[in-house]
Amino acid sequence: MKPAIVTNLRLCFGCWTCALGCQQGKKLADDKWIMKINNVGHSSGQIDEPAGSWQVSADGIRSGDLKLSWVPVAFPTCNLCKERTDRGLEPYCTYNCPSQARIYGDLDDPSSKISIVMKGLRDAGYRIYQLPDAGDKTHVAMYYADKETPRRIG
Amino acid sequence: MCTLKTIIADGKIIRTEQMGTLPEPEGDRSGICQKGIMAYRLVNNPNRILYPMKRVGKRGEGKFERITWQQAIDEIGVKLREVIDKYGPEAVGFFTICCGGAPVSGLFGVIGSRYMNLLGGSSIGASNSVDVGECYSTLIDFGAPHIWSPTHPTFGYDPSFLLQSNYIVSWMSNPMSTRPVGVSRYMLQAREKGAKLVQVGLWYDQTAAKADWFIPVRGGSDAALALAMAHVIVEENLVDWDFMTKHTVAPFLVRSDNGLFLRESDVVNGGDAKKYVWWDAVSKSAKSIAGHVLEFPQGTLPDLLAAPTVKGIACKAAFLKLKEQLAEYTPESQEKITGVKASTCREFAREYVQNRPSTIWHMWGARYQGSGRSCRALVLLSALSGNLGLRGGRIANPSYGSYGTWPFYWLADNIMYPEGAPGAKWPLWRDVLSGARTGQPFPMKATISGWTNFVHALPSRQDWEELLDGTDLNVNIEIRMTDTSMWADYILPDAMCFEKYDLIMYPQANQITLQEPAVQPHGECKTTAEIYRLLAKEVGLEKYFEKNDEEWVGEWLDEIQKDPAVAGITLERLKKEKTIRTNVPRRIPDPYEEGGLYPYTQMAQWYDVDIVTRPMDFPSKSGRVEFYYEGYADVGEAMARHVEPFMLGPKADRTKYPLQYVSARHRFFMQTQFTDDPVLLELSGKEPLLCINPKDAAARGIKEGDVCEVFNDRGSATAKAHLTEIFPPGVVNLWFGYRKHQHIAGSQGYLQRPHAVEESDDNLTKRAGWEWDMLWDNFAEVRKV
Repeated sequence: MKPAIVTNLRLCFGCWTCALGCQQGKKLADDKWIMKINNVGHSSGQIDEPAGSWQVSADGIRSGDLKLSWVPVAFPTCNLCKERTDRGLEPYCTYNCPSQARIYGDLDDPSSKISIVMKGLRDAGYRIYQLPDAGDKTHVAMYYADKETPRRIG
Repeated sequence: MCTLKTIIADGKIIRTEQMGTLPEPEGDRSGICQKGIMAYRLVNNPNRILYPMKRVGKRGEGKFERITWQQAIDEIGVKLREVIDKYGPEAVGFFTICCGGAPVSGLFGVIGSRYMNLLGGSSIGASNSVDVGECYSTLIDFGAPHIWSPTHPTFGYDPSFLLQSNYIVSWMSNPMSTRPVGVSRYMLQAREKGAKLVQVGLWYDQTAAKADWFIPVRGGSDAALALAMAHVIVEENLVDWDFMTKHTVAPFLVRSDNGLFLRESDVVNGGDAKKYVWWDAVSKSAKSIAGHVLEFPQGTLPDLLAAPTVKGIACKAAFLKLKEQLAEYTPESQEKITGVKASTCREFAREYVQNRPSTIWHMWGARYQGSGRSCRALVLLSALSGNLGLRGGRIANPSYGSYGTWPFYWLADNIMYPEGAPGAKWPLWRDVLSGARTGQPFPMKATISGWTNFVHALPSRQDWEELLDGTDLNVNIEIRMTDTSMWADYILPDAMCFEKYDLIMYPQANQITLQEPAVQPHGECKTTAEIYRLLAKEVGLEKYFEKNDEEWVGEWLDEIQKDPAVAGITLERLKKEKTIRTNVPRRIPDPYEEGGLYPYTQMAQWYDVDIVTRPMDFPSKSGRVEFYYEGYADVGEAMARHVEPFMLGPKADRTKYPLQYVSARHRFFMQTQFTDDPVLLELSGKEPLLCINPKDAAARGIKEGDVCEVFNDRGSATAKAHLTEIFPPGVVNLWFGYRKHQHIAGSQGYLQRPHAVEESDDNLTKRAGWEWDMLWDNFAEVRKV
């Protein structure tokens, strides 16, 4: 049994429903979190802040090299909602995700939903990875799937 | 209004979560967003209003004392009767609409509407003002403002239809922030299946961040870009000629003398005044066709570029008129207006046509005097490309809901108008405000508001404060203290959704859920039915308000049984099944094979709508998409065109106020709700921040965190500056939701112009009473305080 959560980052739009679902479900204090959403953009500390900047040319043409994405991360205090999964319920974060970007399951079981989804993503050319500091700041059982496709502004 | 599962322990609500699997063939999940997760905290929020309150300080000051229900209702009754006796019932203004379905909406305002109509009060909550752009384009192009059917191209859209699209254009909308549950999921899933997602918008929002292609446009220039795309489609012969011929007025001849369609009676003695004349390229002669007839006779060929003179009347085919109008909207000429490169415009137009089926998703994001015209320009793109008739194509304004749930609103006539006809007045906002100031056209002397925070939400806040300061009575029905409650004389504590029966029309997904009380009303809160029963007794209307909330739900369900979309959904079934799918197809049907429009007879009377029941037949008089609308030919508005925004336009003096001022919705708030939840407040940035691009900030010597005033000729607000690249240079934003006291001074609404712009030279405002909301059509300057 190797319980894990995979997040398809192409489906994640940074809404924080998972993190809030976890905080409220687990009855944490208002300033305590077991998971959060990392803003992959500007490091100002403000949520949804993009990296890069706007460019407006002398004749008013708008473009820019703006970039923004999100990664939900769990801290080591995350127990993958064992108290729920033992009762056949999903973790709060996967259960409440509005775009169903997050899947929970047993990686040792090839017939589990997470195994099937991860195989499908791998076959479709997605990069499946864990954060480099897994086991330290973030949780070991968190997997991410992503595929870069061309983006364009203007 | 989303469906939540409420979890109870020891008689208390301990959390809300998504509801589980929906009754859908694909087993889709219900959805929940940040606000849904936090909704249960509203019940025990320290700001919750639990007892009737009476004002003890000055109006707007927010000082109240607890009183009994008996005292509150007695005193309200005395004042209400005084106002009615002295000024007539229309002097009582009601603002009981709720945007997005507040957690206390009370049968979506139907019971409040019943009270207002029986009393003969005035609705100050909705006029031809807010959100009208989409309404306008639908009314003009399709002939009816609100018609729902599986095949109707704009309304009645199920967002799961997006899964069949190959190319999705989100234009004037930011669903990743404002529609996390119903829309974003399907947009992103469609993208996973290979659809391209394009975002056209003013700033770098969450949808822009997810899009494959973000096309930034200057504020209020959307129509110019869309019309230049239409220019490209015509120029490069990418037009769907079959669609244009069969489903639009393209072949009909337009008279050059008066801009009206040439009718058979114009050219034939005893001819039919309802038949349209068109030019047959085969016989080189004029022929006629009736409205709602889509096929032309065999062996003929309608000439869409004809310019004949028929019986001495010079005419042009409507398509030729369009082509001539589009001539000025070249990709090159739009560059200066939109800030979009000509080559980008061309590429976008080609991709939009060649990647069919393409959907345009638009949603109230054009808050300028030209918003209706912008929406018409999008409809034109959808028609020219033939996407309008394609499964997975079309154009969607999802905000109007799913067609299966709309009968609930439109077939509630017998509840809202038990005496057979609407008894309320619907004055324009300019008349409401002038009524408060001058007593003309009629005095405005009392307000009853509920489930809405209109002082905060409407533009030109000072006007609404003035209105509430000048009345004899203000009653506010609420669950929490709002900026509107602050102006009330009496606040009546309302039960929340967790405490009473109601129906939930799950947004945009065609299910109906029975809302059942999970807990008893807190404090002395009363339900919708109870509050209106008390208010009704004071004005002799008690016999109309004897039902309790559960009985109202039952009656409402009985009423809508006449509609095939929801027939069979009864209270009995809902009690067992909780959520029921409406009787509409899960996947978009082929528009040419299935469908038909539901005949809303009441609506048909109001709007002189043709009742149509065949697929791809529109309720317009011609039965076609009227991209040429003869009714406004006299004011030069027959076709979509670009008009510069009002305050941001070339006529405005930009030397004093060079920045565009907007007040954007923050993703952690629902309108003005949740701004007092400590967790969401922390995530949102702790306080209202004045967002300014670093380039504009540098030019003004402004640094992060500096206390700054944003101001214009109408008013101002003071807040800390936040330097950000979310907004482009030239645009300054103060987030919408925060309460006034959370600002250092002022509030966002003081800088906005009212909808009723007397000084506007807009033809449609003058001609037809269309008062565009101009929430973003404002300029400002920022200075360090």
